[in-house]
Amino acid sequence: MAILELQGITVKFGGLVAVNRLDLSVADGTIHGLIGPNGAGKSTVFNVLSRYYDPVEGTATFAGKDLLRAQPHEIIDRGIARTFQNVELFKGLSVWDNLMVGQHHNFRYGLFPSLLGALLPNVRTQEKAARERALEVLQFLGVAQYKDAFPQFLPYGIQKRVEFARALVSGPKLILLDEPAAGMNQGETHELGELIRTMRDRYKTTVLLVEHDMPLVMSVCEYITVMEFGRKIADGSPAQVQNNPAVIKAYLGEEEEAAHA
Amino acid sequence: MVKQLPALVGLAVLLVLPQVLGSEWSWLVLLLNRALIFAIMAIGLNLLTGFAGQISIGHAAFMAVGAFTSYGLTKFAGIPFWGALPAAGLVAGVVGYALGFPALRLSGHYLAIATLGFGVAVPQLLNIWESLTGGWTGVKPAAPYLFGLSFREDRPYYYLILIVLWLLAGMAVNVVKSRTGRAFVAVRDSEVAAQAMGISLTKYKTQAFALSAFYAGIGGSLYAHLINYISPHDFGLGISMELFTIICLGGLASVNGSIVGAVFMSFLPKLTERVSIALQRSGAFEQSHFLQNVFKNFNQVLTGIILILVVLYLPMGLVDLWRKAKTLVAARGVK
Repeated sequence: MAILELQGITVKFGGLVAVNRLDLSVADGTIHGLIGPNGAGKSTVFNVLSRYYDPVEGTATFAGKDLLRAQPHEIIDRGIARTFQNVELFKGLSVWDNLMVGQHHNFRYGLFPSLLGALLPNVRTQEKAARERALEVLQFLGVAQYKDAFPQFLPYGIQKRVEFARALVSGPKLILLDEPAAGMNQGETHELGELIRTMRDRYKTTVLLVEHDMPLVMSVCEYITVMEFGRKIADGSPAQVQNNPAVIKAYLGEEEEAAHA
Repeated sequence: MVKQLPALVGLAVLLVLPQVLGSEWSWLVLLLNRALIFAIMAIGLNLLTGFAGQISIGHAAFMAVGAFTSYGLTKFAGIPFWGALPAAGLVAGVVGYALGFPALRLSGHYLAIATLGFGVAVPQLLNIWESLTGGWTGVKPAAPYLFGLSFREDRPYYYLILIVLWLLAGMAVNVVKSRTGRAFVAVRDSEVAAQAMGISLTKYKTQAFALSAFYAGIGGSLYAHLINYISPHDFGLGISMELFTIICLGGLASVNGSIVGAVFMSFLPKLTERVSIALQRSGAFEQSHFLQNVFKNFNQVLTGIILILVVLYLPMGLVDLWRKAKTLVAARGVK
């Protein structure tokens, strides 16, 4: 069953068509890859799902509800969490507090109880439960020892994991990973692949992944959608996609151009 | 316990200070009163600018709203001071909430300009409303009576301010450690990520403005009934700039820094004035007419130099001194 269903999504920036009548169906519980050469429109799709961009045409349904009616801050309540291409951790907050923000939508208290803070038993209980949950996710991702550190002082690979943890701690049904392997070495990328699989199995989430690292995509994804110039040119299992002539042309064509340049 | 020691010592000093100072030090108590009122307002501004990352350089306008609300309620509505004080905070908070909406569309330098405009416009508008504010002549808010006690003298008033400061500083600390405070910092550090975490920019920016204005309104009320003479033009850009300087100097995104900064900024001009007078009396510059002229305004020059030195060497604010001292002691301890 599809948890996310895009139909005929078109996004334009002025005269430029960034995404052209895209149909995309992500099955519940799968690890789904969205790949394509630079400028294919993958990140634009993510930004539509995050509701930063509005498509001019098309529909997007998530878990049976119209996703396009949601505002950016309502997405996480629907069950979609994400990471960013360039790590977007809150540098003024510790790792632990970053994961507390990840659970922002789970809290049930507002400004006035905040003024009294820990004096209120209700606030105390909620904070304690959230801290414990955050710690559990940090442990799962193997970064619990950095809980009190500030993100900017951590190695890039660790920062990526913390951002991962922050998305995971909200308990999402779908997690959007925007180039999680960018800036990682081969060993780190391999570990990342393992991590994505374990995460899906343990937390029962669906994963939609934009990635340039082909070995990672081919090894971890169960289903792949390929885009070029804003259009979908192929989809299927990793083996099917790898042998698709249109895909080979898209990637080889790019390499040829690169060789001439 | 050891962790709370400096706070306890600080509190003890604040509690006994007016008692140990003789009557010849009355001016110091008044200065201290002003400093602590500014500390309250600086905490509010720091919630907005230091934590939520929204610049306001027209904050004296909220102080003016609080001051005149408090005056109006006590003078014309017969409401006692203990009712007018929170009301002043609430009215300023509502104005702050309203200002938060146009501010949503702006950020950085542009927000600075917009709040500057607000800070210029409000005193002008209040000046026109002469029946309440007295216009250029100003008005005279009465000294408060609380539970049969008079707060006409500076010393009792000092304790009143201290209690309000303690309450509001405690509330600020709670906010900072709570969901709301974390959302403020998230909005400051990355708006896209904050939204993806379910934080509504509209909600938290307007809340930060309202909360911050509430603190300024309380400060305005305390100030009005302390000074007993206010006119709209007392709340101009000079005070807005002083508040902004206090939080940058004391430490952005620090409640303690707001208090330290306010005390520092209130006493620094007094201190440099003393130095300047002492230098003139010493007759050190009798030979040179030029140097005499230079040192006539030496207090202001010295104040400026000290401000520059602080931002140069303590970019994290005066509170960083404390952290640096601690690491130094810790390093000694290891040896």
